[in-house]
Amino acid sequence: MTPMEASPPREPADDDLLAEMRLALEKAAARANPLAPDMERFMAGYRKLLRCFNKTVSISDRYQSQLMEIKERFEVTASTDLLTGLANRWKLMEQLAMEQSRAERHGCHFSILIADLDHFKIINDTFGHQAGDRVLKSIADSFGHELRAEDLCGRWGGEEFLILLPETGLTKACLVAEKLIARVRANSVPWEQQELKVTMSVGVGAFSRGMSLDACIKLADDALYLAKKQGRDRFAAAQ
Amino acid sequence: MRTLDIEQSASTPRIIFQPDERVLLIRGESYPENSFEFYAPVAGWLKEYLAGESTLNLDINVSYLNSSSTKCMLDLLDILEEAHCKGARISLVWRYDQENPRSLDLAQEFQEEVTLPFAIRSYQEEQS
Repeated sequence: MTPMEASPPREPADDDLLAEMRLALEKAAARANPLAPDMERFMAGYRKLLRCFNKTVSISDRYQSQLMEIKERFEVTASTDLLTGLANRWKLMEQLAMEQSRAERHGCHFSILIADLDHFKIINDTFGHQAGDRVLKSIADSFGHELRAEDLCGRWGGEEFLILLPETGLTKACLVAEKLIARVRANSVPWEQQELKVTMSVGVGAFSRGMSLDACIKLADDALYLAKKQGRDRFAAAQ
Repeated sequence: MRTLDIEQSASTPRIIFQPDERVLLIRGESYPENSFEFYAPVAGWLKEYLAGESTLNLDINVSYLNSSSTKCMLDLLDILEEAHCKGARISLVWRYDQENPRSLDLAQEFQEEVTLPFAIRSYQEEQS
């Protein structure tokens, strides 16, 4: 808080035109030009206007920077899953569409993994949603160790994750799936003197040119269904 | 004395004069479609008030002003500054948001414009 005192006088504004006016005024005054008092008045008016203009611009710039900061914050919030800190579904869809158009244009490939925690409902039902959230967060955190900077992992649904692997074919994508599954298997969350453990099933799908995004997602989804059917805690690849 | 009471809207602040304490309150965000039209009655009221009265306390809490509102706010400060220079007892409290680091800078930008007593306080302080 600043004290409630009068502040020092304001700095006068100045620019080239004002300097020119001042010279003209001096000349006029020297010649006892009758317009000199009017010129002085106009000059004072101009100086005030100049100061107000400069101030308005600098204040507006600050407000605009403030708005830009808020916008950036909103952009992050709008694309982040609050619980896990991963990309949310909206962000995933946006990135998938970008990757698809890149693949179509440059003929590169990418794969997607859809991962679902096995029997997750049991954790929620037995230990409560807080425990479930803790497990989700812990698993989401562990994924980062197995993924490259260019990969994108997001929360696709309740206990479902989607991982986008650019420049990755089916074989390599299966290796990633295997590693992630191993991570989840090794993961344990302490909760009320117990260790909460889960397993995960993954469906792997590779994008090929001409395919729609929905079709690619369906490939991975169908593979996930297969992995579940084959006994869970494993991956299956769409052929 | 004419009363001054302008309801708040999404894009315009609440502006009200409380005669008991001689406080002119300005609260909210300001980005009206036509700022000059919106602030004209405020400037008019202010001039009229200061022509007859010599004490006025302003309490300003605006979190956002668009460019034209900024210009209008500077014009209002100019009227107050003029009265202050002529001996009127003008004081002003500008409230800023402690959690927004830019908010204090902005308060100081306005403070620089006048020599009248201009206090900067966080609005969190006002609420506590």
